[in-house]
Amino acid sequence: MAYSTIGRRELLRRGALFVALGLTAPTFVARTAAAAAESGSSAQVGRARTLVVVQLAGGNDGLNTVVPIGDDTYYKVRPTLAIPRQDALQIADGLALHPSLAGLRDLFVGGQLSIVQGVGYPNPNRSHFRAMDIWQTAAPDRYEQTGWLGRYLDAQCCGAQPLPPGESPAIALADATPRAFWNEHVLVPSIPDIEHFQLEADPADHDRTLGAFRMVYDDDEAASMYEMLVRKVGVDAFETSAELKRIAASYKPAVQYPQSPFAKSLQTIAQLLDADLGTRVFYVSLGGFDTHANQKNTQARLLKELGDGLAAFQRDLAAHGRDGDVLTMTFSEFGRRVAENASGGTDHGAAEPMFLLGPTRGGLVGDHPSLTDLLAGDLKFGIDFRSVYATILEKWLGTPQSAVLDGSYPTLGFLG
Amino acid sequence: MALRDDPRRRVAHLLRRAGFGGTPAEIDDYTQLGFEGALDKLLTPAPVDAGVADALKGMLDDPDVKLPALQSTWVGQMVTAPSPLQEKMTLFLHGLLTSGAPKVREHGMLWRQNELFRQYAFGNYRDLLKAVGRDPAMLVWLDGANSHKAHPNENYARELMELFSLGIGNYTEQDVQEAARAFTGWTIDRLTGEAVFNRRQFDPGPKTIFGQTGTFDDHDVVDLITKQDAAPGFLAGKLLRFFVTDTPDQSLVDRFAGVIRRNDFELKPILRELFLADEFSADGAYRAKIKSPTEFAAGLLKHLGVARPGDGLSGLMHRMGQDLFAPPNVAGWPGGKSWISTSTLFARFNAARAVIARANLQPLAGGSAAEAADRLLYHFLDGDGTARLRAAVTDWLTAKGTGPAGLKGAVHLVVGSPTYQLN
Repeated sequence: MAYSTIGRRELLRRGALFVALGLTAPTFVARTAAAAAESGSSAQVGRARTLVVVQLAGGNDGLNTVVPIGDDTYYKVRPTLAIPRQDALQIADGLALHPSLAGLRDLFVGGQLSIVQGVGYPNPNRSHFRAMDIWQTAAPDRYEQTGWLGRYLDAQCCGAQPLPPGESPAIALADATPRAFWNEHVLVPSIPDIEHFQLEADPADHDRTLGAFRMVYDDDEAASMYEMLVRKVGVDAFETSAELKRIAASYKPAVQYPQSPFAKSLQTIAQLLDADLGTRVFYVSLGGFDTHANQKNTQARLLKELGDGLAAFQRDLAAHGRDGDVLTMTFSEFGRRVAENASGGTDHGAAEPMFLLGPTRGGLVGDHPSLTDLLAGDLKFGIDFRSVYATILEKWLGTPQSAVLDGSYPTLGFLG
Repeated sequence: MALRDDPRRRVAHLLRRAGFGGTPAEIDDYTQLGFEGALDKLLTPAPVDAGVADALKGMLDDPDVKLPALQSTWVGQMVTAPSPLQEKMTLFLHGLLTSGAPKVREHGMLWRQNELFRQYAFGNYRDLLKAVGRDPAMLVWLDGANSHKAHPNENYARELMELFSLGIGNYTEQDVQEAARAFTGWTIDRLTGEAVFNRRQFDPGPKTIFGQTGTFDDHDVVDLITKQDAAPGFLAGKLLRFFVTDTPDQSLVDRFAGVIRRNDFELKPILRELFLADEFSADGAYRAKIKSPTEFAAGLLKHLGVARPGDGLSGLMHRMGQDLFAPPNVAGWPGGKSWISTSTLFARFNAARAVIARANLQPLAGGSAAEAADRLLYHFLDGDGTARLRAAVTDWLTAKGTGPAGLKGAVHLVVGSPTYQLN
């Protein structure tokens, strides 16, 4: 008995079952089913506007990222860590980027990078865990299970504006689903990298093994809701894996990406974008920013990884004609303290700059926080991070902020 | 046949939920005792497996003990534990009263916390809450070690109420702030790594918590908390979700809140009632929970007769989504449906393949393809498994033979099947 392609009728029937289970249908199964139902040919899924979220884990030192080179106080409080004026990459009067961020400086000059300055929230939390939860749930005042992008996905799938059948709404380039994606109704595939996202087997038996597994998962014998769920995720996994293999074989990066895991993840996103899966949100993380000691070299290396990776990604998108519909946002759980510590590092602080790349208006949004008007030794925030989220939700993803956020936040001018 | 009327299946179900599954021989032995006899045997505490204790001795003397070594040692203990329910409770408590790396840098502290959970697995939950507040790993994880009279850190007091005992909405900010003062004074001796009480850093003044005023200390706070109306229901919900169902009815939670109140937080009689409940042995409860990666790994190792997993298990567990001793955050692992994603499912398939490669499959070999398929489904799935799985396994064995080499792929299919992912 060999695995055979699932028939169209079966796909449609199964789609209804997944709805009954309270989950969206598997990506490729549903996509094929929708296409089959509509025209019998492979339908071209529209090129949706896409958001790429880049998490800088550990708490990036914002003050040495977007550097106030015109402020003497900066050089006083950072006697060993300050970026020398002559090394910094000037972007405005008295303001410069870290020397590692040449790629981002070029994008800024080209009007493809907006920098939102002094982003934070009231009563900032300095615990990595809690602060990261706050940024990912967008709920500083309570313990919220779902993430802000998860609530966006729920609103898309099950709210007033149903998700078109066949969209793979979000993909995390991670082993586990980030908190930001936690939701009630939608399965989010997590794909650390394309090579490992497959069934491993002895090469001589690979096709036989894959065929047998697919046969076992493509089962319609009555079973508990949980067994149905596992089958469904399995069918989705095999379909997605096969699709990714096809994509990997056909996709050619237009640029040379740097040799770093982060850049590799960005390349995978470019690959997935090129395949037009209808994905609206990608999530990728770059870690190691918790620089309590010997910050100088560590941050320089990480920011280079960030800047060079994003610059290559942006060039690749442009070469594939996708730079107009992909917005990239960076954030960290907190900035760091204004004064350096005794170990050549900085401790947990508050308020940070955020980068928004792609089809933005470019330029600076908000003022650089004052280095003298501080709150418990930390920068005061000028823009609530939920204003950034609200702007992206309303002006980019086309969803009212009320579907996702508590309260109402003014939108910002970085998008058209 | 209803689950209640099928003694062997019901005991197998009990061993999966209250332990890490059983080999056919183990299931037979426990079935001989009857369901209540099996349960009483599971509720008998035992010291850590002698081999594991030996391994730990050398390990914990090393101040730089690595996480993978601790992880694989604990999973090995789950496989061979004479008291699997004690070990399962230790896993439950590790996820509930959690602490972990990288914040806790001294990994030996994490194992000592684990020993505390094992010690209280069938003890009193109130006493455990008192003890865990003075546990070195917890003092680091939730910042108690840096909480002083002049600057009480609220982290532990808040998580104690929110995550360990009452749940959000059942305490006020003032309760947290005042309780934080009662937890001051406990810190860690840098030389010994033990928790010590520094009287000068303790705030002995009067505090008002839940409307009561007194010169409370850390143990008084736990007594006040466990007297709150919400406390028994909170623990009931946690136990029911871990052992019985992801979605307990409110009436079931309320009933077990009563059981907990009546038994004054004594875990042993509470667990006994839990596993004897009709809801536990209902047909709808059978294989109706998704195995955690730890349950999957420990059960697989047990079924394959691999008692000592290598440290390579750590990477496999990471990909499956559960790094023991390194939970994702203060709330532990979300569990339930979140265990299964497309990538964690591939990780399970690929981890199983790596473990099968090290196993001796000879005892399962031989006979016709149909006989060997039946044997595998009986061995790994207690006879469960869909007709389609049986057909796929039979096809495989027909093509590849029923010797150890041919069995590898067939075992991979069985333990990779949807049914095997369920408890």
